[in-house]
Amino acid sequence: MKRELIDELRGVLGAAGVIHEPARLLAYECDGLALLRQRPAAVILPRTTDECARAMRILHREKIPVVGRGAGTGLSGGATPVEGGVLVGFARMRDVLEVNVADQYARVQAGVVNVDLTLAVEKHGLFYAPDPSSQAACTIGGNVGENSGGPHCFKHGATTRHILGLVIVRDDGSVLDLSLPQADPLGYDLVGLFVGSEGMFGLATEITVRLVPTPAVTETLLAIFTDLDAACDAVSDAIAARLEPSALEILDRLTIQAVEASVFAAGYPREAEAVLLVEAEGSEVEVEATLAPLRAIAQRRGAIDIRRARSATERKKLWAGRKGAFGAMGRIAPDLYVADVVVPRTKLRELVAESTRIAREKRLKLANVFHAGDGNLHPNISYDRRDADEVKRVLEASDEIMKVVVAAGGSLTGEHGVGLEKQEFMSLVFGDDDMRAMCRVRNAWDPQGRLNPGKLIPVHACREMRGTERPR
Amino acid sequence: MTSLDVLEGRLAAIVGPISRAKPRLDVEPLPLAAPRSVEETCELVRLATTDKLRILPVGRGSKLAWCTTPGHVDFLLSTRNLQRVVSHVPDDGTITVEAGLGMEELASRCRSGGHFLTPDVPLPAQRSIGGVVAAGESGTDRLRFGPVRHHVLGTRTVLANGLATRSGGQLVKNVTGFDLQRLYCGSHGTLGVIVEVSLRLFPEPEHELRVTCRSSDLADALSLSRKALSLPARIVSLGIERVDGGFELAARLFGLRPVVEAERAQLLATWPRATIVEGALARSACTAASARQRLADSPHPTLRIACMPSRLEVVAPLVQRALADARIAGRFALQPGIAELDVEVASGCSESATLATFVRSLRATLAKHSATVALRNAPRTALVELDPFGERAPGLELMRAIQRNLDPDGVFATGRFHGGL
Repeated sequence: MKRELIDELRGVLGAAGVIHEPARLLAYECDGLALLRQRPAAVILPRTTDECARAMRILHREKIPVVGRGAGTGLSGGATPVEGGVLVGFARMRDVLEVNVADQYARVQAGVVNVDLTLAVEKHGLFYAPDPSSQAACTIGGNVGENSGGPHCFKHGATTRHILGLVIVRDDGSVLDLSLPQADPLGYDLVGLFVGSEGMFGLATEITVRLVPTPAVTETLLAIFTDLDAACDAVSDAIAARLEPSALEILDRLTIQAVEASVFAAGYPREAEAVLLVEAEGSEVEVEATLAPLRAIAQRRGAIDIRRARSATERKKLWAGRKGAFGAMGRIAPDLYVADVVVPRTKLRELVAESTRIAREKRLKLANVFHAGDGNLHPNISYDRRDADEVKRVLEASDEIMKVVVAAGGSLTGEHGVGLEKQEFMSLVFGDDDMRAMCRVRNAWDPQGRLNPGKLIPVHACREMRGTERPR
Repeated sequence: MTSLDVLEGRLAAIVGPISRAKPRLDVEPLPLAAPRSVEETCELVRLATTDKLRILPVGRGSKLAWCTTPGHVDFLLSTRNLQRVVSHVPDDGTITVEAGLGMEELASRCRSGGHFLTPDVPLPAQRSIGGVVAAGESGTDRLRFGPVRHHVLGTRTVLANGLATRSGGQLVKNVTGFDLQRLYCGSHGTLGVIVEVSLRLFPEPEHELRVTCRSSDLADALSLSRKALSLPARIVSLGIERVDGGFELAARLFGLRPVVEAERAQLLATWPRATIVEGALARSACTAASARQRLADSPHPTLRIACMPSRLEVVAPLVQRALADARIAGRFALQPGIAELDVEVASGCSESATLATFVRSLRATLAKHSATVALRNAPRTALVELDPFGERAPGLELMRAIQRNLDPDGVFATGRFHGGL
């Protein structure tokens, strides 16, 4: 990047707000999808909406592509930089701007870490419900970009149901203030449309989120199975019985072993083929009325033991194991490919078995840990990226899993987004006409196609995307 | 043969017999084409695009008077013949139906699979799911379940190019592609014709109660509602209606039987002298109350006022005072949990200009409290210089750009939604 441009950006953002030294840029080459890498021309770190807007006006003038990045925990390559482009990071926008206890909302800067928001509001008897496994690192802005989920989204819904307002910096540096929380949008639902747009509509700098009252009682159960299929069937039965716990999560044997050998050890029995982690919340009566039939279902499906967390510490430990599962898999191999697909909840057993078969045929190590209640599978493949043949087999397995899932009525992604990883598979789910409609809407937000270009929609799908100007 | 006869002949060649209908009481009847399939819908839209005709998409027509009357419309496109259940998987808690299916039939279908349909809209026999989604109409059960847009998993929508396009899907969790269904939901058909809707369903309650109590004045009623809302009970809906000499509060409870019984005990401790109806009686009472509280049965202009819950106790008396000052009489209902007030302008504003002046003045007064005022069922003369949806929304230019990109020729009778969209 030209020196004068760096200096101009520094004039807006300060010296600490612009990174352009090659060695420091290394850290921004990829997000959680380490298979895909591209060094950005520079990284900028605004502290306020105004700084972000002023910097974006400069980048607009120079026609430089821009990629937004929260904490870089995304797993679909949504924050992979583009060649010659600038990465906008939100690591210096970490303020909780307002907590409105009476109306149960908070206004935060985009870089606030997910779990920090709950920590900031829990003294008011409130919490922020979407809880991705990476919640100790991922940001609210990133969650908005990807419409992130998490275990408790089974009851509370994904990010989109919790976003009341946004302040957005547009492609040209103009600021769109949609932050006033309203029951229903006036005009089109721009906020709802923006959530999950993977950074291709604008940069959310301030976010108004809905907060949820902390439940009076929370109970966590661990049902232990000697058969993964049986655990899947127990979840399908629970859904068919119209039960509404707050989370239904499954971990298989390989995951359990990795977790138990790690710092996240939760006390899961190593000999189990699967564990089902169940949580219910609400009044004491409600929790008992939800868990009693769930226990019966688990027993009917062959659970050999059902343990109840006896204290908040024990409950936290059980969840730490679940949320640390991806990290724990580092013990199996140096790299981890986290797949993310959704299946109809009546077909859990069938599609988990299919994923396992595909991995076995490709001679890969597959561990399952997933949001079973939502039908959101995470077949995780451990591999070594230095082994080119293994990388090839991982990608082949991922392709096959996506194809069988879509053929069974499922979808490409439940919470990680399409990004670069699944772009070419969009045509399995959507026709060209569907994607052209998406492109037309995107074109209204970003006519030059400079925001996170080359993501989500396959380039051949629409003329609007092909018209994107090349970076200088 | 008039040009209207020629048009009707061309429409009939696609969809069969054409009737005529008034999109609003105060305009002339227009040809109404009711396609029997998505393909016929596409063909009608292609005809309109090619011949530069303007279409007004309608479901059952119950919410057309929420909008401004469009300047020119060539024909109405009704989804009333699109009634198929495309897919219903009770054990997955999802259903996909064509847009013309009535809310009553849809709720009944969901119930047969052990599910409750939200939104529980007023007068369901007069509404289709497509119309409810297109208008973004939520029910009084929004307190428990949230707005309708949260439960639309996906849509199939015919755009101005005459192509049926999908967004979202039929799964309870899915982030594949941009969520265009969020854009179509609440757009009043100004971006396309919604022909298919996929919904998330909720468990049919095991037990249901309606708890009511009387209060002498509004302040007391609001105080009682605040106490009810501070309980751990997950109240489904909570309404306050003006009745002879005072106000009536009504709360709906449903779910698993032991949970509902525990919630009943909590509420009774909070509301002295409450009366209770249970089961089927409770449901029919709630359905009737929903129509009254939402003023869906009103032949008069109505106002929907929305604010943040914490402002309700300031906003409601301000509205009451403004109505009294303007000598406006009519029903007055509140939904404290979702901070919405519905006001009927039954008398006191017979002149359109007077109504417009009153609404402008009320908007100015309530703007200080971040409250919005929408005007529904207003005579077209009142809407000459008044936007029925509210004052200018931020992002209106962007909304116009989205509309231009999806419907460059204004095939879907643009100009009738907020800000001339």
